[in-house]
Amino acid sequence: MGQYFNNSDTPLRNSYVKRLKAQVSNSEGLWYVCQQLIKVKSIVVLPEKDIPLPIVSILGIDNLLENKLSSRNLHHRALAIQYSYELEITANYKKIHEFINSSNIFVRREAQLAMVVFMNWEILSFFAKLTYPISLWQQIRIIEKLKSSKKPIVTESLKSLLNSKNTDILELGMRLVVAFNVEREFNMIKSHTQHHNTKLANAAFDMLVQLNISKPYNKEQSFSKQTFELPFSYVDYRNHKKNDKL
Amino acid sequence: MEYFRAGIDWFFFTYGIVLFGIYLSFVHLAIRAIKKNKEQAVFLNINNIKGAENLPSVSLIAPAFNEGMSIVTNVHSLLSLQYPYYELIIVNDGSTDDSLQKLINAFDLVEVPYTPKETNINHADIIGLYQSSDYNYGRLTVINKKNGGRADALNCGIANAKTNLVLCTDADCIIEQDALLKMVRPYLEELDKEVIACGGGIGIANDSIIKNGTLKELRLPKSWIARIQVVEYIRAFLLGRMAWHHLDGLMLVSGAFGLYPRSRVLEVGGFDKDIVGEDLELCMRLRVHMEQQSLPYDVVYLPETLCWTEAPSTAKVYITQRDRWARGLWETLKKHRHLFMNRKYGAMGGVFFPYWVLFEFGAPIVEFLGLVLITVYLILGYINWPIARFLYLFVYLIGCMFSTIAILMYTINFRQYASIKMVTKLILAAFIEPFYSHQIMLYAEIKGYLKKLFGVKSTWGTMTRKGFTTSN
Repeated sequence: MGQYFNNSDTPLRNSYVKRLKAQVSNSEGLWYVCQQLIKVKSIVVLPEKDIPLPIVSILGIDNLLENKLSSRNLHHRALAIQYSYELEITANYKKIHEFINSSNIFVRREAQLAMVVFMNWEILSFFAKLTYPISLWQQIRIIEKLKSSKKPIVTESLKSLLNSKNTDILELGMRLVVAFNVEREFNMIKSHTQHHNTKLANAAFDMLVQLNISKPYNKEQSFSKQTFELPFSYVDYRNHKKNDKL
Repeated sequence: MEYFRAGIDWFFFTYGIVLFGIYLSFVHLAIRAIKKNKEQAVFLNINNIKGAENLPSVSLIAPAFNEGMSIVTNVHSLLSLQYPYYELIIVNDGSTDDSLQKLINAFDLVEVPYTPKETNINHADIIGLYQSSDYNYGRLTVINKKNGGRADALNCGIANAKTNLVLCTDADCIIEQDALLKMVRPYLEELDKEVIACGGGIGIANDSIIKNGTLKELRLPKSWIARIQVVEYIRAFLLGRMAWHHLDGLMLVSGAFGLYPRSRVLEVGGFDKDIVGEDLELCMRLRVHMEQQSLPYDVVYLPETLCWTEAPSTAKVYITQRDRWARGLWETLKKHRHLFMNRKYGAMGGVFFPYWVLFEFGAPIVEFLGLVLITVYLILGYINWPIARFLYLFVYLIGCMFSTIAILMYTINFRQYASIKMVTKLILAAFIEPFYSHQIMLYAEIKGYLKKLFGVKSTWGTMTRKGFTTSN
């Protein structure tokens, strides 16, 4: 596909490019074309020479997205960030970096995700310093992006997350431990099932279940009134943790 | 006497003007809320959720009472929802028909040992717990219990669920295949405010075509009373709930389709079995619970129609339903009356609860008193006919305008009832409503209030349903 578009001598190609260029000249058309390119990128595995990047440059999408990064419309700015990292337009990296602490939640979230795509594990030390909450969805996306990067784990970065006082960041760290099967940190997840923050404690327990560590427990055990606010399985885990042999 | 008359006239006039102002602001807020919802959805695509890991687990709890006619089809439909981590709990609430046997036969259910759970939620005794021996139905659990009513059955399901979130619905509801993916979105995006309840849009599917438990072709109900309810639902859900959600003041998540964090529902003791409007009461109690602990929270409403139900298609059933809703409202407001203008509860005590008292509860009373007053004025010859005619026409057209705006907003944004013929029929229904079902609704609501006022014992009432039009 990319090769086809790179060949500028074809009249049919020129006509397509002309039409697509007209389409991407307005915002809605630009977003639509970006979405389609992302879909193609996620479904079709192409050789290096055929990846959609040439199309992105031929249609001028990289420049258009760069312009949108300066848009006053924060929704457009957030979309431009998202499409920049999904289409791997690394040229926009510097500009996006300015938004990683934006007051707008969407701009901030997308900028932080973009940094994960561009910097992989290195950026995690930035997350370790965050004092504000991050959503479960952002955690899920960070893990997805790190998985798809196929870069080796940077232990120091992971450790920095696990030492964070921000419970959301700590939760992200634990999820990374599970996602990348970092066995030496499993005990740490187990210790956080006792965390005073119920949300974090529940998440820690869910992760143990995911790792099959809590399998020996009978889930039909009685439910304690004192700990009713916790999921049944978590209470069950607490009731039986003394017998736990990790 | 003159002053007294003028006072009464000004009261009705002011009430009407305030209500008009509120509805007008609802339109503005709903438009903003829908736009915001659409923008958010761009960043949280359901296709991405579908393939994601670490999603919260959900228990779908569906009470069933004498649903033998459709239970197997409905369970098949509920088992085919798109969500990676969910279990389905059907609570057979002491059905006297063959519902349970049909489920056992259709899903190869076997009775499994059951140990009673000690929770702070009470419910009628469980007779048996069933799970399927077929791996394909591994998500399904059927609880057979003694009859205790809908709230009791939901409580039983919640107590026995093992997930982070519980979705309360009815076994006879048709749920959109991607409904769970959309419903968990607010929970995935929550930051500093905990989402304590999330409701989705409910649509009316009378006379629509249902195939294999899914809505195949959306049609308008043939009966006028049901068709007018389509308008009523669109108006209430799209304008009212979206606007309140935008103001952080949503007090009601419909019982037919509401998602809650299980831990919070357990903390407050589940649904109140003694109140017929258990959905409104639970939502209010959850809000009170969070306010008392000074925890930030949010009640979310999603404007898309995610659940389809059958609306009453005869005046008799319609009256039964609205009478029950009126009683539920009375009971709930009475139970939480301490909230009224209570500064301790912030905006909930100062604005949201008083709105419910003055306008949701008060509107039928004011309307009824208005009719009485008009009758008295007619007899005494006090009516200034040119002004009365103008006012009546003005109020009528204002009401129709709000309904029309809601219909158009719904059609444009969600592409349901999108054909010109359907939109025209709906707008026509909106213009007929004030002369037809509105009067029946007023009668039912006043009947419900009078029952509560004079302590007339009344139950849920029988909801006779025709059943959906199914196609193979």
